Amino acid sequence: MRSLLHIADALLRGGHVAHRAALLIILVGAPLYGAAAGTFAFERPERALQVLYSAIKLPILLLLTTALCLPVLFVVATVAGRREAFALIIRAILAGQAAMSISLASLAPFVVFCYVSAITYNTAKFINGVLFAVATIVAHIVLRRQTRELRARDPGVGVLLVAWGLLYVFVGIQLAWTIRPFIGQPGAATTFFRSEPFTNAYVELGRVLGGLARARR
Amino acid sequence: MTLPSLYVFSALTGCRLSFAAVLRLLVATVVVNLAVAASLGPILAFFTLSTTSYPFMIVLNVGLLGAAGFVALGFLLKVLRQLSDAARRDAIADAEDEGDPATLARAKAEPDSTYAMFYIWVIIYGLVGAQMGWLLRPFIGHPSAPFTWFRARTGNFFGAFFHHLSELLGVND
Repeated sequence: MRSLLHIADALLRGGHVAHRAALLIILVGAPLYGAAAGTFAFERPERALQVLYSAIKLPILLLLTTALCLPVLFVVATVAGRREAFALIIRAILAGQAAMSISLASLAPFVVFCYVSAITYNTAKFINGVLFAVATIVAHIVLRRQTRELRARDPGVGVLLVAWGLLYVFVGIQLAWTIRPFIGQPGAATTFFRSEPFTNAYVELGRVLGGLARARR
Repeated sequence: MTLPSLYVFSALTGCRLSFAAVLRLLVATVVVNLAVAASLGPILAFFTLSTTSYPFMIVLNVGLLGAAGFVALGFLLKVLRQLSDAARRDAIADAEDEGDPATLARAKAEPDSTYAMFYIWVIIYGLVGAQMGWLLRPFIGHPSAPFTWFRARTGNFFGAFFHHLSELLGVND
């Protein structure tokens, strides 16, 4: 555990980490945040299940989103003639995901503090969304830092990584929506997935925004 | 369908490629296009499984295939640029061998922006590709319509795309 903290510290300071260490950090750090996110409205014993479910689902969210976006990165990097750099890019991406897990874990106490301050369910969702956005930015900063030499030699890699980051966010939002709840609506039964059929996050968002626009008119 | 025009444009710009070489280049571009599209398969499959909105799937497909098309055309333009650079170097080397200053000056003055002509071809290719996809539809299949190989030949790609986009954005309801 101590050595893992040392590795995490080195990663935040711009050092390189092995694949296995990065994976381990994701599998330890992400569940910490997930567990904290699941403590909302923790007044009945069955809500403890939500803590467990969210802790399991958070690393799934990070790793599955990365996995879904990797094939296209590999093919585009190959077509663009950057196949040799791909191993380095993968290492940087894993390091970015590890840094995202570390920053999420570091925000876990803050989430619990917010929940204790008797906020509403909607505010809880909003805060979690903002914290996720912050952690995603951290991931991208670390990704860029890890590829600094590579980008200096070859600026095309930077463009490739920005495009990849946008795709990651696009897929990640839909995946998070699909495997929700992470917070769990107070009063509703605690479930691993929502029982209703899968829907699309962007369509739902459009519906909410459309409703707001109509209400204004 | 766009092979003849690609050949004509490449001949116009002095890219000394035979018809077979242009065909090879175009097939390679299509392979790149398919490889990128296939690598987007997991993302598309995930969205298909978790989405019930038909217009969203259409817009997403257009977006993903469009991105794959851009990568493929970028590849085509890169190869053509390398070929025309090589041709230009050859011409300069030939002129230097001859030792004639007038020929050398002409070879060096040859504008290397001739492949700008290819941007015209790229637009033709994109338009034909999009409309071909429309003619061969359905690829997704409307959830409530019965299965068919082809649909009636009405409308065009762009009208339909913007119709679905505005439906998705909730503009026309």
